[in-house]
Amino acid sequence: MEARLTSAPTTRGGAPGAGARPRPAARLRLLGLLLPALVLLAVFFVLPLGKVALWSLVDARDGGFTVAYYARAVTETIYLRVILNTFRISLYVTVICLLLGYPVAYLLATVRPRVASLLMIFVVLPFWISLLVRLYAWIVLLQKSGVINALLLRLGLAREPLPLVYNFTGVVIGMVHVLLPFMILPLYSVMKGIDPNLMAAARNLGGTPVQAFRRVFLPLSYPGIGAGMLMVFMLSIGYFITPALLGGLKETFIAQLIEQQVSVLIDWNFAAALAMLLLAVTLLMYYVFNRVLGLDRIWGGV
Amino acid sequence: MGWTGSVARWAFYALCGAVFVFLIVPVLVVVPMSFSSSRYLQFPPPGLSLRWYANYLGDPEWTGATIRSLIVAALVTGICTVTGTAAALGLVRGTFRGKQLVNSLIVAPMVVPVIIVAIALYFFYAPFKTWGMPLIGTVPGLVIAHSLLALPLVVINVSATLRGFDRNLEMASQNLGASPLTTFRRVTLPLIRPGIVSGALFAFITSFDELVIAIFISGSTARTLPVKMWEGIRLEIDPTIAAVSSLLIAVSVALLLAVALLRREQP
Amino acid sequence: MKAGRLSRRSFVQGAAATAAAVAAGPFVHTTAKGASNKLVYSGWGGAYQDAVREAILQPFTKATGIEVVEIKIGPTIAHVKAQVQSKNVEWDVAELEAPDMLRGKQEGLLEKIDRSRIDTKDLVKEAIDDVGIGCIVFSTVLAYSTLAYPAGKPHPTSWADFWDVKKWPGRRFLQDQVKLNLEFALMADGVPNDKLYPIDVDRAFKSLNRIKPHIAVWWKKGAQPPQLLTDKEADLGSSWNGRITGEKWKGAPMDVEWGQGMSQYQFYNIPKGAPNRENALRFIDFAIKPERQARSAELIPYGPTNRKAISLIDKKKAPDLPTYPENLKRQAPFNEEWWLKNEDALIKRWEAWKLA
Repeated sequence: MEARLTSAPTTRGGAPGAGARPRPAARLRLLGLLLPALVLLAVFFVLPLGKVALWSLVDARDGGFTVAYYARAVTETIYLRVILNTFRISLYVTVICLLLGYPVAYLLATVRPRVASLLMIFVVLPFWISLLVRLYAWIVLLQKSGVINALLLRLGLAREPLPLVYNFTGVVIGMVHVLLPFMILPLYSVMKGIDPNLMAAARNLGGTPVQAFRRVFLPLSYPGIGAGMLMVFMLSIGYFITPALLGGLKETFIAQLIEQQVSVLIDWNFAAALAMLLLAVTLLMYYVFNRVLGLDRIWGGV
Repeated sequence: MGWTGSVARWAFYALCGAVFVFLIVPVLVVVPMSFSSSRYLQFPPPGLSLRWYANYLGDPEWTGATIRSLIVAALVTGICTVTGTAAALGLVRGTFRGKQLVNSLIVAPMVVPVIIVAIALYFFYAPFKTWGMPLIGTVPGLVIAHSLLALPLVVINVSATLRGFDRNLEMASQNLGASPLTTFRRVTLPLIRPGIVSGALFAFITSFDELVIAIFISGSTARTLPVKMWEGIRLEIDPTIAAVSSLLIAVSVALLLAVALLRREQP
Repeated sequence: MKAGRLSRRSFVQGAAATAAAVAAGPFVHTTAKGASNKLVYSGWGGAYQDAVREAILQPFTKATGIEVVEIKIGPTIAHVKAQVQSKNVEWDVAELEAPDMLRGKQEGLLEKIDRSRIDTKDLVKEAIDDVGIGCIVFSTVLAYSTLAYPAGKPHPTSWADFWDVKKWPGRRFLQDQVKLNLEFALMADGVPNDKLYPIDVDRAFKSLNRIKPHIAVWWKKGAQPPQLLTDKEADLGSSWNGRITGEKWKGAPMDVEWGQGMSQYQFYNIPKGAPNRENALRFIDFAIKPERQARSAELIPYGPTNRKAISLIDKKKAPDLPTYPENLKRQAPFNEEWWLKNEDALIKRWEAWKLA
């Protein structure tokens, strides 16, 4: 049991530490585990998307090679502006989800299992409301003549109805509501694996509850934080129905512009270029984020 | 722990409570809306009626679409849970070059705009009909497409729990003579189970709710529930969709309550 | 768990096949007896398609014996392009909006309509195109709440009125779309109905800047305007006529102003390479007959394109249709061709204007 209390980072989760090289058979097995996923992705994702990516380099009129679409995507500033807008709003949503989700996950991971299962219903139930109904429910709740404003006025917390929808507030509320479970559940999963004895030990060694949390619990929950932030951010940059219905003029997401190119203007070559640009920018950001923050060591990429 | 501790503790509970209320509030709106007697989604509803439930339950297009979505989502969950858990193990435990590349590949389906994926798949699927295995307008086609979107979620979740996992336990098990498979089954699996279950849940919901790809590849023969809900959207919102959501909520509450109440007290 | 990949895959395939059989079996909308006896019609679903089914699709099947398979996802030219270019055309008739049809024509995605097979002599000229036959007319008009502007009292009757927030107070909405808003902005600025094109874009955007701060909701879906009026969230704004009039027919407190509204057309198109082209032509000829269009217009207030149809429509309902002669006179003509050339650049300018 001593080993657990003093376990060094190298024996946790990640690849074996220095001095323990995996035997070749084990390595092959590990790579073999990846194979089904890689085959599925290679055949049904890389191949089809590869063809679409080629469209972005081919002139729709004469079929010749061209980088004009990428030039357009970069020089017509509206697209980069909207991509940045998308990232900005998504970042807000991600951080808010973290701030709200972390305490809830902690609660779920530390109460009695039966209570946790009951409370979990609150987290999982919203999944069953289909997107359209959910958005309309929020509009009904948030609009000027809606339930929430009526309550605020009745309680004297506001003198006139607040603009809670068709703007940034509405979009954030709507998106946080959809994405919060994607933050809570991975955090909960990781927290469940944190040995409570570790916290008790830290306290016994003289630390305050805050210190025990900050120095022991929090670092051990990093994989959960990483997973939650990754999922919430990546999912939210692809949204377009939610910002369209709950947002105002300034809450345009890049997926909406790409949808216009695909469905209205049917300029698929350009749409492909935009999509590839978005993919490149996002993956670059993901890579830089990991490296710069040294997150690679802590939660290592995925 | 003085009074600051108690204040902190009550603030903590209050915050969690507020979040739970936030999560549940739309449910409290949707269910009454589903009993509305008017053709609009209105809250509070002007009158009560079961017409939307009757509309849903009496229309094989609605019930059929629901069953189809459930079947597709179940298959997607099965495939992605197995494939994704395996991939997560390989990624987290393995040492090889190009890990960042594989990471990016697995995450990419979440990042590429879904309408581009839809068109790419449509073109890819089209020739399969002439080879005798149509993918457009069929359940297998939907399952494959949704698996692309669901796989990253499983991998990310399982990876997170693997990373937080104390490998000494596995080493101890192997030192005691257990085979890798037994170790996996008896030691690793129970400890990463919350990650797998979370991933499975995300996979299920992603498939069940998926709209854009389904619009392109479901044709007239494999309509899913989201596509059915989308019909007529240009002009109106059919309150039947509130009834559908309410029914799904009711069923899942029943299931989750059963799970919670049957759960043993041991952690 | 790691049992042979092969057995897992074949299990999944077997399960999938069974599931497919179960799932697809009784839920195909109709049984196809062979290509010659079928027609796949792609429309917009909801109440509109219910009206079309009753007025046109079911009578068509009764008259010709051809089974109609309905698609209800709201056909766009993108769907048609995917089908045509992947050589997998599933639809025979698609009801496309005019700009979609024009773009489809540009890219060669639509069949030329053999007009010797279709009786078009009573159709308005805007409804006749090489690759499509117009089926309905819908207008974007100024809709208003009759609670804010009761019958018998004055209500805003022009876009200049809409722009005048002092004289006509009320919460306003406009569509989040550059098309039509530019025309409305010009009309509000004093440009006569028949002198809108070519659009003076700078003038239009200057005019839009004046109204921008006063718009409470920029709607994206056609269902939003009547919802806003019903919920008393807004009092007046631009809207498609059909839903407003439809609700008015059911007693809801809202109405439309036809003055300075703009009409757009929807067309029956045949994707290139459609499997049942013969049936498609028979369908179009059947669907544009005056009795069929009249019946459809009585169920849902979109205007018929057949001039003979108006006289067949219930006298109480006819005045609420966009092609009722009185209404038609007061509207401004919309120029699809101009937008076909300029929409791309203007969408960009619009999106930038939104972010400003």
